[in-house]
Amino acid sequence: MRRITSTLLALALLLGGALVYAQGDPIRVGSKQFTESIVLAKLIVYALEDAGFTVDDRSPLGGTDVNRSALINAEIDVYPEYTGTALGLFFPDVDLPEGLTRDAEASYDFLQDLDRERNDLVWLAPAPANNTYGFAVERTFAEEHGLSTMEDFADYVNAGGEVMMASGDEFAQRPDGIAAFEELYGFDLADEQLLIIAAGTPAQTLQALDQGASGTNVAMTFATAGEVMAYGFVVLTDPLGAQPVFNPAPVFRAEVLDANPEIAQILDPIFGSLTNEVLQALNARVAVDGESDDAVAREYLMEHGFLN
Amino acid sequence: MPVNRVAVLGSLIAGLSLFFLPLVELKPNRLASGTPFYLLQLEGDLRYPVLFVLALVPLVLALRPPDAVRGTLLAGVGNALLFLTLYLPAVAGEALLLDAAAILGEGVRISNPRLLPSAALALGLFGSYTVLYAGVRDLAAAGVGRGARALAAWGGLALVLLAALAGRFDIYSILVEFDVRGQQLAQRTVEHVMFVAVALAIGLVLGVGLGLWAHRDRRVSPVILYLVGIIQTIPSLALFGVLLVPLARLGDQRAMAVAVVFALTLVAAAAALALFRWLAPRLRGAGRQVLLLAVALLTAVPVALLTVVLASYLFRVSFIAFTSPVATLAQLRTLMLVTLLAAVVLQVLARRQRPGVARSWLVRATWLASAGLVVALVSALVLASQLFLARVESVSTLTVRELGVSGIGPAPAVIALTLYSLLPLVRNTYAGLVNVDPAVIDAGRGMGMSAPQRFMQIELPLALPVIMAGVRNASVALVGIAAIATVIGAGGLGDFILGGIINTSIDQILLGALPAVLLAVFLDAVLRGGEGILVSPGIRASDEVAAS
Amino acid sequence: MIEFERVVKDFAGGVRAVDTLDLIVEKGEISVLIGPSGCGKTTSMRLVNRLIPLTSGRITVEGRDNREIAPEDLRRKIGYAIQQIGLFPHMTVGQNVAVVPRLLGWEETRVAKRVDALLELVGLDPDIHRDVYPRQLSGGQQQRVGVARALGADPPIMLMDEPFGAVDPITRAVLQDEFLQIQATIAKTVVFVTHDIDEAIKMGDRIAVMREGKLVQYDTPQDLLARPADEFVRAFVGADRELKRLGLVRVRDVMSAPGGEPPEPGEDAVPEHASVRDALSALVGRAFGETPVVDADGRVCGVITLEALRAALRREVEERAS
Repeated sequence: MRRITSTLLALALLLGGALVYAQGDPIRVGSKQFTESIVLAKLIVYALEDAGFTVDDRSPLGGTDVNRSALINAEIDVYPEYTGTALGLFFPDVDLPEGLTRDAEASYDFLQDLDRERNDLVWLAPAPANNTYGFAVERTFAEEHGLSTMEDFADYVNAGGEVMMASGDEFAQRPDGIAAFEELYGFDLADEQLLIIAAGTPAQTLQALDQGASGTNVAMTFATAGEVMAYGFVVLTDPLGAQPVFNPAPVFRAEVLDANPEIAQILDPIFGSLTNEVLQALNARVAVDGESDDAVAREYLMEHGFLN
Repeated sequence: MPVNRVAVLGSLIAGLSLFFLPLVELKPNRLASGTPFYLLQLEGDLRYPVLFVLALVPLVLALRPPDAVRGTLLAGVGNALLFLTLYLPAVAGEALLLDAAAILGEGVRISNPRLLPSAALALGLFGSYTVLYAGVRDLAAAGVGRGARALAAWGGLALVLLAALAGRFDIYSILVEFDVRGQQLAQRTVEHVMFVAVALAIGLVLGVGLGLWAHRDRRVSPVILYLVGIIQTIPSLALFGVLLVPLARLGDQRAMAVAVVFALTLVAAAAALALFRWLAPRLRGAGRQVLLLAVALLTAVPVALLTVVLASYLFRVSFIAFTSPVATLAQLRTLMLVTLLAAVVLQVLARRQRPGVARSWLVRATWLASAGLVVALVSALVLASQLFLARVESVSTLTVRELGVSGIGPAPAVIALTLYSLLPLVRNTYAGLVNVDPAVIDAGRGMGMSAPQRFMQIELPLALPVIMAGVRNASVALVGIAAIATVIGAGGLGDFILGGIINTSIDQILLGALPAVLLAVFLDAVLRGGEGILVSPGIRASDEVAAS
Repeated sequence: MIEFERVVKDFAGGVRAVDTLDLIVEKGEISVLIGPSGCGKTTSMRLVNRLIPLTSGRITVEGRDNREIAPEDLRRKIGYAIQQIGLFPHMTVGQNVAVVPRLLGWEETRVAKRVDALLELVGLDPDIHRDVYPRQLSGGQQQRVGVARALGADPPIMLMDEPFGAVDPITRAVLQDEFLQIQATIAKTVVFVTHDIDEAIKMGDRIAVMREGKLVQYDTPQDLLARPADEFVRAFVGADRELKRLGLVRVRDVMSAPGGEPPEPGEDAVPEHASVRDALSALVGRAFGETPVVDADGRVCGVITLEALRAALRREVEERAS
């Protein structure tokens, strides 16, 4: 078999000269497997393609760990990551400064330095959107009980209000998940008040809320989840900052950015335009209306003049 | 048996579910849950009650004497039910959509509303098909010709397809989803097919080779069977994850260096095998097990290396060969299709022909067509290799990544699938050969057949049904396992399935799952067909051979 | 002609399967190898076409040491029929019979003719049976195909290892008769292995009795029955060996001229080609009265009486004594 391979190789070397591709190495873009990550990846893909790069669209690639190790092992060149996720997962050996994760700018600066130094990765400017975890309830339920912030929710719980909350297992168990809210706002959810969905995503917890599964009336959510809009839910605000900031940013291999420094100028304004409302709307068009992520990303770039 | 009980069963399934269960669910958008509707709840005219009554008609028909008339009536009702169960709800759905806001209530985001088929629709279709099947069975029993039976069996389905093509079912949620993601679906399906095909092709060579070796050398067989058995116990999700880092590292290496490592480990493995064959009869119990494990692991290294590089490379190259728009490749693909069809038709004709001059010409023509197929395939692969390797500057700087090996994407997927295909292929090849009657082989030997002649003319044809069963097992299993490859960014239909689960879109899940199911059924049917052509009627277990 | 010269076969583990065997199978004759299980009869046969290599000594086939011929070539010149029939189930009857001719590279038209001729020879209609598969045939028909296949390329020599072992006694007797008839015309040199002494006596021109790898006695059936070499052979051929001997004498040789009444319809009569043993059975049935003998057309051509039988036996005993 090796002889065949080497014969083929020799053949290719002899005859292939004429067919050499004009373009350089393609830029390989990954993403996680949920709507927002894919939409962000598509924004990167179409912006770079428009600027004349050859792009290899690998989205959706898999979970956080697959994307991260693919990036570190140079299997992909970029994928959108959240500052809060990175600080929470990637540096278990580093003692983070107190309050760092709740400070958007400090989080970004910290990551910028640490990831460059350790892994030769570069974080481009993050979007202002903060896709943090939050609590979603039905609009009618919120109006009925006068809920708009987490403080209101704490009062409701402490007054003996009925709660059944759908949550992914991680969010329910990690100290920076539900526990952080409980500590900061002073309430306590018992185990039997939680409907745990293994590896559950906001899409799944929100669906549980929509269907009222097991009497669910509260659901874990991302602040920018398009489904919130679709189902007509509201997200309770987090004025005291129980949660880390989750700003999405493209994370590149430094090698690629060094070779193509113009990439930062292309992507920075695009990510800069992504507020919570914008992202929520884009997510909703894909997840709820069923439009294709390609079309949604392309149209957004076009409408806002990011494409030439 | 005068009463057609199958028809009664089908009628009851369809009738009861249409009466008691919700037919469709009107969904305001892709995610939100919808409002269920029962058949008899649909307003308008008498069409909907009529469908219910029609579902009960077979109860009466089943009491008629069993003849062609009963068969025709049952098949007719079955076909009508099949079509109407799909058609009428779609019509009703169009009407409901006009008034969607009033039906679904306020505060709901209505965008891209759609009709999700519910229990009564699925069971109604199942019941219709059961009635249809009962009718076709009656027709067969009454000796009605093939053509008429085919019409009875497929007429309704053809009607459904026509209506679907005409856009009558576009309101159903899976087709709404298809409308948006159809193009992606086509690409994912091609990827899925390529995963299975390439993994199966390599698995076939490796698996049959290993099975053969295990059969030839009784002392090596435990090593081989043990090894492929171990592979099968690794959960696919874990295998995909485990492959990521080592394959990424392997991708960074120079191809020449890897070739050297391959050669060295091959020599080491050969030495270990020789040692095992010498030691095995002298060892007992635990010592033998430990040695067996060690040798198996050592042998696994070069085999794994070869599989990894070959599978990755072959996948990339075949993907180019079968999808690239380059004109020459497109022509070669046409040539492959034509020669394949020719070979199949000629082989079938040759089978039917009495031995003689005409038959020997047909056999020769079959060989010619097969040779043409192989030449076209090899040419396409060579050409695709050129395209794939066009950017390689020199062999000395060539990295393994440039040969297609990488930690994510199709490479680990194809490798994992190849590994999974080994157990059924090796085991069935081995079992097929072991079970060939020794008296038959002795007869061949006694009549003066050389070893290769015995293998080609006796052992292989006799083991073929078992080997083919292994191929079918492997391919159907691979269609399923390939869906998990999405977790490492390999694409395939799993993209839709896992994406749909994560995003809670049942339509997206179905859009991936239905083609996967169809693909598995289709592959199984094709391979069964291939079995029918390749396996001699003299040893086919399933059907009787008519004495001529 | 096949010649075994001081042939020895040792199997791994030191088992001596064949011990210094000297044996000559004459051209055109059937030599039966017989003995209890494990006596080395099948092993001896398989040494001839080198399915098993011999340890020492030599075997010449048609005058040539069989080790001088490539095994495949040797085997293609020697017909081979075995106990489990060993028909190739995935080939049609015609393809089975054609195996050796095709291995020898015959032209297809010649193969086709040969196949039809052989099927007719063994009593199968080519048009009916050529294109069916073995599993569609009865056991007896399969055995016939096995014989036809062994005769495929018209080999001068045939090795037959209990070729009629897998069928019921009636079918076996028919197949034996048929094969003897065929042999009368084709006159092959046959090594025939069996463990059934009756079959050996019926089929063999000569019988080689083996025991623990050694040849104990090699004689014509008559001589074997009349003069067993030792106690082992005597026991092996059975206490009824004298009766068996009667099986070798034809009625036509001992009957007297016809007289008296022709047999009533339905009355027992003995065919003239029947053995004296059968005639004796008929005599017992008639309490040793006169028994009519009929020819092939059913006409009475003689009678057999106890006196005639006694006279014949007496002659034979005197011959043996002299």
